This record gives sequence, C-alpha cells and structure tokens, in this order.
Amino acid sequence: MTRIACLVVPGADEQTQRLLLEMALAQSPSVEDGGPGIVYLDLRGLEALFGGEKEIARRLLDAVTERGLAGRIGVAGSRAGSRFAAGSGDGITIIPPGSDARRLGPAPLALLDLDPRMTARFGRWGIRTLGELADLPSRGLAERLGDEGPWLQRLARGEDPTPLHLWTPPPVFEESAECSWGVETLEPLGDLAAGLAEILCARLSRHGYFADAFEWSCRLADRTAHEGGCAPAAPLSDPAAAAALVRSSLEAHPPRAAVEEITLRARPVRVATAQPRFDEPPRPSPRQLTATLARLSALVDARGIGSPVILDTHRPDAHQMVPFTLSPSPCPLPHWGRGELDPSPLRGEGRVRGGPKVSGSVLAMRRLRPPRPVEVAFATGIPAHLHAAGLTGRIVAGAGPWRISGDWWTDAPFARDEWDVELADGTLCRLARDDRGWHLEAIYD
Amino acid sequence: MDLLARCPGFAAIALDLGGAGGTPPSSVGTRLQRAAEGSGAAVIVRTPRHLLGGAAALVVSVRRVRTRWVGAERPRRLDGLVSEARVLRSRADPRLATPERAWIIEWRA
Repeated sequence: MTRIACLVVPGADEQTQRLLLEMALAQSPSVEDGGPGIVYLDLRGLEALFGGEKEIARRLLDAVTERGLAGRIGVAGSRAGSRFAAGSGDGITIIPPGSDARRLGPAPLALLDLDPRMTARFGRWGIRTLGELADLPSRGLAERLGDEGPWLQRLARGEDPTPLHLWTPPPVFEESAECSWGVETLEPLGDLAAGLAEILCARLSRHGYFADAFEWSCRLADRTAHEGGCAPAAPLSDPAAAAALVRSSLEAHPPRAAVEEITLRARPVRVATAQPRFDEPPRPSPRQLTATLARLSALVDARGIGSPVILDTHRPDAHQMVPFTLSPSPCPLPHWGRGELDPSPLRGEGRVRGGPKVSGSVLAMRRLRPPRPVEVAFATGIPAHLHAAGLTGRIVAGAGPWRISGDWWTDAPFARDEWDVELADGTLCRLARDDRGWHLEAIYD
Repeated sequence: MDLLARCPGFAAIALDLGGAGGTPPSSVGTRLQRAAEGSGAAVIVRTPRHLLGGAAALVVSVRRVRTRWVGAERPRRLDGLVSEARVLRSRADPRLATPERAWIIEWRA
C-alpha cells in the first residue's frame, strides 16, 4: 500500500528547496522534488527503521521549523492526497489508509495539475471537484478520454500507481592535496593542481558530467587563503585540457607564500551531445579551444580575452568583455564574407563581387585603449596643432566640436567634446576633450 | 601570435598589428603560414607595411586617396574616406598584382 508524505513550504527559493530535499532525504530514501516548496517522501516500509508515519512527519517538521521555515506536512495514499492534506490543516495532517477517496471528494480539480485543455473540458462537463470526477462512470470516461480518463479517475480517488521520481543530491567534485613542507614555486604547484584536475575529470566522466568551472583555494604558510577560479570556453571533462586550464589560472594568479594545501573544485553540468549540421561552419573542439585560451591568458591580461559586448549606454567605447563560449549553433558565415576581387577593373576602378557595394562600406576607426593624452593648440577657435607621443603635426582640416553627454543620472556621468581632425601627414584621428583634458581617442585607417 | 591559428576549427582569424610598436621577427610569416595550413583557417593580418614576406598568399596594399568633409568654407562633419587598394602579391592569380590595377573603395561615415 502506497503512503506518501508531502512537505509544503510556501515561498521556497532554489536554495531552500535544496535544503528541504536534503532534510527529507534524512527521513526517507525515496524523495521526489515536487517543484518550488513541495517535497514528496515515500513512507512505505520505514516503520521498522524510522518509526511510524506520524513520527517521521514530526521529525521532518521539527527539522524544518529549526531552520526557521514554516512548513506543513500531509500524509495520504497518493501525491494529490498528501498535498491536499498538507494544505487543509496546520502542522501534520494524516489521511488514514482507505479513506482517501472520501477525504479527497471536496478537493478542487486543480489539485491534479491538469493541462488547460483537460481543465476546460471538465469545466464544460460541470466537473469541479475530485469527488465529481471519481463518481463519473469509468466506461463512459474511457470512451471519451481514452486511457487518460480512468487514470485521472484513479488519481481523484487517491490511488497513485506512479512511483516517485527519485531525487539524489548532486555529487560533490572536490579534491585536495596536502603538502606539509610547503610548495614555494609555481611549477610543482601546477603539477599538483594538474594531478587534482585529472582526478576530478576522471570522476566527472564516470558520472557522465562535464565541468563548466573550476575553483581552487590554497592554504598558505602565512595562515591566509589564496583563492581563484577559471572557466573553460565550453564544458569539458578532458583531463589534459582541465590540467592546462588550472595550471594557467594558477600562473596568472600566483600565491604570495608557500602553499601547504590546495583544494580544487569542479562545477558539474550535464551536456547534451548533438551532431553538428552539414551546413554549419567548423567549430573548435572544446578541449583545444580551452587549452588555447588558457595559454593565451597566461601570456596576456586575461581581462582582454573573450567576446566584446556593447553596453546599454551612449558613453563612447562603452563595452565589456564576457567569457568566450562556443555557441551551441553558430551562425553560418555571412554571404558577404566570401566575396572576391573582380579581376577586371573598369577604368582603373574596381568593386568587390559577391559582397557589399564598395561605395557603401562603413568607415571604421581604431580605438586607442586607453586614450592617449595629447596637447592641442588652438588658432581662431579651432584646433591647429597636435602633439602627442609618437604623433605630432599641423592640423589641416577638422570638424567639431560634437558635444555629447549622458549617464547624468548615475554616479559616473560623462560630458565631452569630440573633434575629427586631419594632420598634414594625412593622419585622420578623433580627439576628445573632457574634464581630464585632451585625449587621442581613435585613428581612422 | 599563432596560438589561435594553431587551434583547429576557426574559419577565419584576424590579426591587427596596426598599432603595435616595434618590428615582429621575420619568422612570424612562416609560423603563421604553417599554423594556418595545419588548422585550415583563413588568417588575415593587418600591418602598417608588408611584413610576412613570401608566406602570404595574398598581399593587398590600401592607401588613403582623400578625405571627404561636409561643409564648404569650414568642414562641419567627416563624411568618409576614399581608399585605393592594390594587389601586391597573389599566389592564386599573379595577374592581379599589376601596377595598373587598382580598386577604389569609398568608406562612408
């Protein structure tokens, strides 16, 4: 005989839900995640081990209350019945075996979580409660709804033949290594971390997981901690790539003292494998891309590696680098990327065949990051001479000032004048003046 | 410089050395060429002058012909540029690399 307990904690967020599931797992080995704030427990066969239904429900409710949460528990012969019982009273409500159908009679039909189509259908029939559904002739219900009709009727009577979808806590992927003598140089520390990464990847592979982030923490000889992390371009479980990634991350953020213990954690994710389409452009493999980005981050500032994203502001050159990731379905190459030079120019002029019109090409500029300070001399109100490190000359033409301002509603407003100027040697650049002075912002190629 | 070019799977890799100070070593061209051949990527290098030697399959020189300003007496706005492109070297079609052939490109602001 099925006996299900339902724990209901209104307003539970994701973290609280995880806590509820773990508390339920301490009372029963069979636990189902019923959605936000709802946990089902299978109470069959637990009397000899954990006591009767009431004792188990009381222990679970006490554990929930100790955490400062307000919960209710219902026990019945089905999920719907136990949820109805949990909602019908405070504390613990138990529907005795054999009385499910009678107690569930006045319960609303919404307790069965029917789809809108079926709810509307029952509404047209005038069926509002589980009792009304249970009293319908089974044969007529099967003729009109097929197999779903008798199945819904059984649920309405408090019979739940479907076993619980068991929830298991996600495995923790963490490995540590102690080195009481203290590791002072990066090379042996990198070897140590690489070994841990290989062990973690082997465990991930055994469980069918990939890692989308690694976090490491070092206990230093000066009694402080040194922590860091790294994320691959795509979830991986390849030991060599993970080892290279972690090693590069440590080299980019070396500890300031000898390391006595290092702990490496991997964040597990499930990755659905999909076969690429024939019309998709080739993509780098996650392992090779991760290794490449790890090597790049060891050579240059890791903050400059990634994909640029334009920020939602009118501030000039406002952008942000986000981690480079392999999109699941990359866009095919634009058709204009395959243009070719027409080998038969007309009267000394040419055009690009198969691409955008040459006359409509958009002017691009090369941003200087950070902007370079410059000295600008004025004559009759317009810039006449420019002097900067590596760039000096007379200004022969210019347009401006273009006055822009914005973000005045934030802590970092901006206001500036911009000029496009052409020097005597042909250099075309953009100057900007703000409260910090003149700056060379960009050069037009 | 050739790390990305050695990573297979990229369709195209653009390398802009326009603002880089100093002169890259002469072996850069050969390294990039071998990396691109190994990965199958199209490597596009933008440099202030021709630095890659014979390693480049196509060398295009682009120079500015004139700057377009809007405004009669005094320029009011930058309207665009006009550039002239010439093929200096083409391994696939050497006939392109002739001095009399040029392509005019108009860039609009």
